[in-house]
Amino acid sequence: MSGTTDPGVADPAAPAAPPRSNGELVFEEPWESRAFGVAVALHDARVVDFETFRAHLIDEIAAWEAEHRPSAAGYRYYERWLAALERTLLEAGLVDAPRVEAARTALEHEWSHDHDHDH
Amino acid sequence: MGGMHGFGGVLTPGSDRVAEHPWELRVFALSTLVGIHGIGAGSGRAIREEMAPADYLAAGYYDRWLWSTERRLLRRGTIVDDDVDNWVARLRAGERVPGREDPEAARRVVGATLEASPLRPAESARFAPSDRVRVRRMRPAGHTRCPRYVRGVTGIVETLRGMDVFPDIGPYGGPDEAVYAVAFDSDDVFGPSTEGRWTIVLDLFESYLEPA
Amino acid sequence: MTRDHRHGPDDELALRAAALEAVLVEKGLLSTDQIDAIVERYERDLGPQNGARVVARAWVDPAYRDRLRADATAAIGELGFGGFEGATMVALENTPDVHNVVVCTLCSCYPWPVLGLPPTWYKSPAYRARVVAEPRSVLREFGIELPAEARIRVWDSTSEVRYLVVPQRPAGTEGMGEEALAGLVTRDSMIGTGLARSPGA
Repeated sequence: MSGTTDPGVADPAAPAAPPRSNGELVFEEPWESRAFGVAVALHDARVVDFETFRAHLIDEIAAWEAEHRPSAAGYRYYERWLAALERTLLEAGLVDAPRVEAARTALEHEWSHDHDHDH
Repeated sequence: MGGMHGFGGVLTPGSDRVAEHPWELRVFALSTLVGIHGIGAGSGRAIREEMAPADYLAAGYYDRWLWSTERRLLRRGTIVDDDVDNWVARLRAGERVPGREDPEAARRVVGATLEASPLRPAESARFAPSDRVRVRRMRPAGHTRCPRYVRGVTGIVETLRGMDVFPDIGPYGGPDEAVYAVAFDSDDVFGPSTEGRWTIVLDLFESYLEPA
Repeated sequence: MTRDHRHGPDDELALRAAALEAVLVEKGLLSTDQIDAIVERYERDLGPQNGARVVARAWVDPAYRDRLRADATAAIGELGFGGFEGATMVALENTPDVHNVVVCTLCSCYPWPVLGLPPTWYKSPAYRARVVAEPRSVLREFGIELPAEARIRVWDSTSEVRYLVVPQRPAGTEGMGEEALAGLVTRDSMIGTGLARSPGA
């Protein structure tokens, strides 16, 4: 729980500085930054009220905690975030599940195709 | 809308686009601008719930926005009862919607929408600093912003933070409510601890509280 | 858009995130540029160096400190910081008698404009559950041993209000300039899970 267990945190006692210049990672995975960016962009664009998203985030976190012991490993904050984002968009009718599924399938094909080409 | 199942989100479920017609997006923009310029009264969200239930359910998403925007302008006195009908008649008779360009204003407004708005000052509040309050024992059916660990616990109001939209009622939230910083003694929340005693302060909506 | 060549749960999550983004961009609701700009802003521009400047100013300028107490949002705004997730700010001053520490037990609320995005531990179920229930023990894990007479106040960010802890000014810093003082203010000290550094430490 202490800062030293954070991946990418050089020194929690270091002077406060912009994360990148610290060598600190704000996001552990690139997809986390996309999920974050989409949610904030939706708010900026007034497409989704951030408080609506936050309500879903709170509920997703609570749902995970209800199903896991407090000491359970495997809690991924941005996985909760992504689930909340999906739920927010689906409930608002801004995306529909078949279309998202189709996009996912297309990307999976595209990515594995690229992967194969690297070898 | 709690308990009315099968209607999905307010936007038609599975709808492919944000809006079917350009007028719908203009209604959204109008509603936002009414809020930014303070020429309406009452939270757009709460007023939407005032529509007669049958009308509310039958109206499309942007119909409700349009209805609530008109209501807010009427409440404030920015427009009076016949203003809209009169204009509709004039437009039907062939008049054109007057235009007005103001690029500077447009720039300012776009900046405003990207900013978050702080809690509004409290006009009236049920509780005052130093009041003893108890957090209601609640079993909320849906989302709530009241953490479980203080339910049923008595604390002291320290500060009136301001007014904010009550978040528990989805999907548009409820009316504005006072938010209070309430201080709890750890003994009362968790029972005696080997660590001694400390204070836990939460920002709680008025609906969560009752006099103690 | 980035691609993840490893095999594991992140692949699936990356696909889900990318699919959502693709659909939203395709529908014209968002642009990729918009998303990129936001990510850049939070990775590069917003961070605890902002809050450190607020703290240092409060340490050297009693009038500013008073303004920070009276209206933290406005005082922080004087230094050019504010906006999303920091629209209603409250400053909490740590003293020898009172130690403030901040949490969001419900999710992860954090004063983005002055501290950037929160560290993983701040968002963890462990911190969120334990700091309200056993703060001294948690602070000890962060290396802080408070005197017995120090009173602890744990602030749970359950509304739109965002908290910035102003740590105690370390001894031996008399006469130091604002910029140097800001260099002593750590991110954790502005959450309450750390102390400002001593000069030469």
